[in-house]
Amino acid sequence: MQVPYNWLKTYIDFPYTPEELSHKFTMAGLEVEKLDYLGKGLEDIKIGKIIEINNHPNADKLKICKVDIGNKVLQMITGAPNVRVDIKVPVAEVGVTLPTGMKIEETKLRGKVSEGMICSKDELGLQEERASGIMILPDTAQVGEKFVEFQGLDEYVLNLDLTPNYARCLGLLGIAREVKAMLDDPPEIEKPKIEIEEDRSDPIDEKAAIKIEDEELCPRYAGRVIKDVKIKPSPKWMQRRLEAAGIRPINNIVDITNYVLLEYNQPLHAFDLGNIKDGQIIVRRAKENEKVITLDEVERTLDQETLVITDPEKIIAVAGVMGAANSEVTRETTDIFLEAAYFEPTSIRKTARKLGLPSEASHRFERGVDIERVIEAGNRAAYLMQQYAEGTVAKGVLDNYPLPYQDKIIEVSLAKVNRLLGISLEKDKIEEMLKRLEIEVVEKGEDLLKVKVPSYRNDMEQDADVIEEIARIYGYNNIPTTRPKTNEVGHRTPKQKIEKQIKNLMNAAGLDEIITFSLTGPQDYKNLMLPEDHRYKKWVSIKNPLNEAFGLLRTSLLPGLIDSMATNAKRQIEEVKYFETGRTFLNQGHQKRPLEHTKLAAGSMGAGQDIWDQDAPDFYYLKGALEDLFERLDLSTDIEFVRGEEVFMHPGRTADIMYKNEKIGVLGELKPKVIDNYDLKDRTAVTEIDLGTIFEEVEIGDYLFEMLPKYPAVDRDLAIKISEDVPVMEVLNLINNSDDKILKETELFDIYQGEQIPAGQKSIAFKLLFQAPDRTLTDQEVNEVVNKIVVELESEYEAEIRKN
Amino acid sequence: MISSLFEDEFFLCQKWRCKKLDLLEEIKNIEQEVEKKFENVKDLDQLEELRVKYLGKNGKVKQIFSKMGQVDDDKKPIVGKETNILKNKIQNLYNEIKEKKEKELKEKKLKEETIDVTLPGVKSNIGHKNPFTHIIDEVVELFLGMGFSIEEGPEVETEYYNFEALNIPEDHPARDLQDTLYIDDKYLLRTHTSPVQIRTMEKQDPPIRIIAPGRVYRSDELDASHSPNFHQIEGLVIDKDISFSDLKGTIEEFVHQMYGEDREIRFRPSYFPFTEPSAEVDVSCNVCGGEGCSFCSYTGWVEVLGSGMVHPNVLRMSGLDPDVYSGFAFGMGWDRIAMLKYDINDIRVLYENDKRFIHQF
Repeated sequence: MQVPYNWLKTYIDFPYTPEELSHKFTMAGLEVEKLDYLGKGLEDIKIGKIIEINNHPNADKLKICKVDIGNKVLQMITGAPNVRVDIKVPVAEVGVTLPTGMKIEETKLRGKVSEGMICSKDELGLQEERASGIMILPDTAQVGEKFVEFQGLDEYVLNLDLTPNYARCLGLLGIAREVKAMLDDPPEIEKPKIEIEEDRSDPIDEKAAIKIEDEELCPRYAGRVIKDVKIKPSPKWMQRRLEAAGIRPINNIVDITNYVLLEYNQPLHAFDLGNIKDGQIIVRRAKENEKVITLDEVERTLDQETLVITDPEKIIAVAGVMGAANSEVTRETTDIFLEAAYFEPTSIRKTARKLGLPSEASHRFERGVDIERVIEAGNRAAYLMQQYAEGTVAKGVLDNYPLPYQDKIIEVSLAKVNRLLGISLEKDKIEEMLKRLEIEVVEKGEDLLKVKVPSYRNDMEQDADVIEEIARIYGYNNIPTTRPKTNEVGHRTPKQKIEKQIKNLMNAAGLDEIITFSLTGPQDYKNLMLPEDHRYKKWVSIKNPLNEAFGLLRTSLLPGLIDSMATNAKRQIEEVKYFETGRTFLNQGHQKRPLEHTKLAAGSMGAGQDIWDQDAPDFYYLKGALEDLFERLDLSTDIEFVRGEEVFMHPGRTADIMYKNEKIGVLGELKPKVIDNYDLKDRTAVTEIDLGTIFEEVEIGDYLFEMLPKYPAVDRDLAIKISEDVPVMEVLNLINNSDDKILKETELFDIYQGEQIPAGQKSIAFKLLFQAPDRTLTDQEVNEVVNKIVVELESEYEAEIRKN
Repeated sequence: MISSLFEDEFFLCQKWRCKKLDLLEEIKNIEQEVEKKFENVKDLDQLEELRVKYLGKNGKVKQIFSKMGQVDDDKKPIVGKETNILKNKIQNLYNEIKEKKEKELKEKKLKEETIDVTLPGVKSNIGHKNPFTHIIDEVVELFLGMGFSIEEGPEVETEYYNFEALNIPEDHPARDLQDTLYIDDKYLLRTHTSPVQIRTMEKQDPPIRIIAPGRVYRSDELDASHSPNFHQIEGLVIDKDISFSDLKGTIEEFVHQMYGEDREIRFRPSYFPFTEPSAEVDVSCNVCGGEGCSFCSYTGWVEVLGSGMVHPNVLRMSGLDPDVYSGFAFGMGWDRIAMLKYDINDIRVLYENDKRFIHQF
């Protein structure tokens, strides 16, 4: 809502500057987004009259003008072809800066002094394209007058961003009421003038009639008839006010309806009475698939939900939304039927949405207009048509009001007001505050007040609404600050603790945390080259997406993660270690709740070298991070990495992550083609784990102390030659399972293929650590176990013990 | 002393002249020799050589002792004494010089071991927290301290939780405030974290005090200040006798902790369908200090959160009697906090994941 400051002032006198008023409004809940001065940059332009013109002695095209600006006469040189003696023009004196940024200085043009500039429209910033000459003002302009005053640009406009509960402020009279409530000793609101001289010889009911067929959707419909109107432009002052409020002037009739809409927050519609058959107005629901061509010349198909205004033959308007072309006011129109009505908000909202036709009118009807002021607004417009369209107002008003407004009485408890706001107000004080808002106390008890709210306050339903008004008048910032009393202790859920721990551990392992969109598009999965039936493609699609790129919910964190690594690679950042925890969504079918899983994904690119010399640095880096993670979460004993498969991963470099023999994730190097698609560095590896099981199994802080060993440990190295196909983990498991008494730890420390090792074989070396809780081990004891291990390795894998 | 002894010897040794004179003379010679040699010692090796030469198994001192047999019996004590004195003298000299040389050597070694302490240390390459995590950790700690627990809810929601239970009926203009992304006729993506309010009230009796951080979705084009996917933090307190002044006190504490004690706060009336009275909370602009600048649209204030007393309709729908219970709720953009706090001027940079960006946090 754009509120012109001076226009508002015609309804109520208040002592605030535009800036002060903006602040007051914002603090009262009517947020002012912006305050504009229409004549910005033109404040110093004056109106001058050219009293003499002489040719420039040294230039054919230039003229030397003497310009009277009221208090003095200045000499100015211009090249404008349209300059004449006696015309009034906008003048910028020396020292003035124009809106274009041009600063006027005293200059010499071919030897003659110019003491200012006669301006053109574009120089004043009033039009974009270059003007062919100077701006010539009407003769009514006064010499020496400020240009902005004459042009009606001396106006401030407050741009209000009104929330839906401020429907009453969609009209200037409503805003004037808000101003009144701010003032301690407020003046009365100046009501718009309505002095209709009715044509008593011509009663309205001989010209028109109204029939409401659907009272629910139209509880009130009123009309007036104005005859013999002359369609022409509306007066200049009205056009300027409309423009200041952001509405384009069209002709006097349309402008008057808009003007009253801005005053009363009551949309009106003017029909050409000549095109309404028999002057018969019928308000009804449209028939299914009934068609109408609206004012914008678009044919629209309606349904039974839509309320329409018709005559006996045709639809003449979609109620509250837009008129039909067939009854539009045109240059030939002489008689007007003026509609002033109240339509049911929800119905208007549905129709405006369905037809994609939001308008100034529908915006207001949706929010609810003042049903009790419908007639007054209509009369105001009829009066203006009488004044500015030379119309004659037919006698009487047609007012069909089948569901009259019922007073709204709300009970408010004083104790509750004070308890809820944390203040202590007396009854009288509250009463006085309510009075400012025209809320009337109709009954006073010890604690209970019964109040009647004005008909324009359709936002008020119950005591909370009254309490808000009291808080607003009292001033939010005058309410004290306290803290709720409590014995409660705040806590994180176990799941939140685990997730936090996981993030900390991933950070500790050297991975940076990222956040990617969970709203993604099919293009994010393209580079993975997934088959149609891949589980990642069981995604949830958005019914009304912004665009394809944000058309579905992610089924995996990996596309976003890989994409982030690719973004860095593109920017020459080649070493990236990232992780993300977040939700993924799995489609469960139409109208079934998608499954939300919390997952952990991580990726590594450019990790350098791996300790095993397998040319898989990123893989083993991530694996190490995960192993550390599982160890710290006390899950290690149940976790296993086994050879796995994933279409977008390297077939020989992929592991399934198993927890108690159930797959919870995958770790692998991306396959070369995928790496190419994304332009990643070679060997980039990723992992993704479903945290569901982990959330269930992990118990944060569940530690139990084990006595520290008192007796020394003994270590032995064991190096074997074995077929290269045997996974190291199997060998490790075999060793570990071979003794459960004194073998404490088995650590792989070397793996080697090449010289001295036959083809198809590899050498692996372990460090075995032996320890007993109750004694120092003897060599013999240790040797027995080592020998047992050797025998098992030989029989199981035909392993050969290497002796150095 | 030696010289005085010597005079006595001279007198006593007329008879054993040769031998006697030889040994005492030798001792005297050795003594002189030793002093000179030890004085010129260069390093510990040389010192050791000298020690062996004089004090060793076959050293000169030993040699004197071995000649003792040839000395006249009654003179033996004197010669023996002299020899012992010589031995002690050499030993002391040796110790003294050894200590000195060792000290020199240690000092030399320490000097040689000097490193460039300005060379960089070995990094442990700890990963960086995401700015979102920094914010939420701070917010969570703060509210845990005020007795709040942390709640979560699904991101896919129903009309009921996202709208109806929050007093936003269908075809209410308040639905225009947020453009919703739908999955089908039954499910949608939550447009705010407020549904967690309802879910909490359903499963838990008052007193309730929670915050609920999470992702939300709107049908907004991605640009510098909008994103279809962003984050919010919701707060809810329900109990008997909760007042608007409690809301103010809680929010003031939060704002001061988050944005600094010196920031001014103002509450102004606003509208949210699920609160009444509702308040928008502004803090003084940190760019201009409240003077007005382009960052705060020349108002001197920056919006940080929306809040209000829980609407009686919301309480009723969740089975609570508004005459018994009251409460307040608040919600804020998590992304916006990060942007305000870290001076980030484009929301997209938060989701782009440039390593150089994340490494700033």
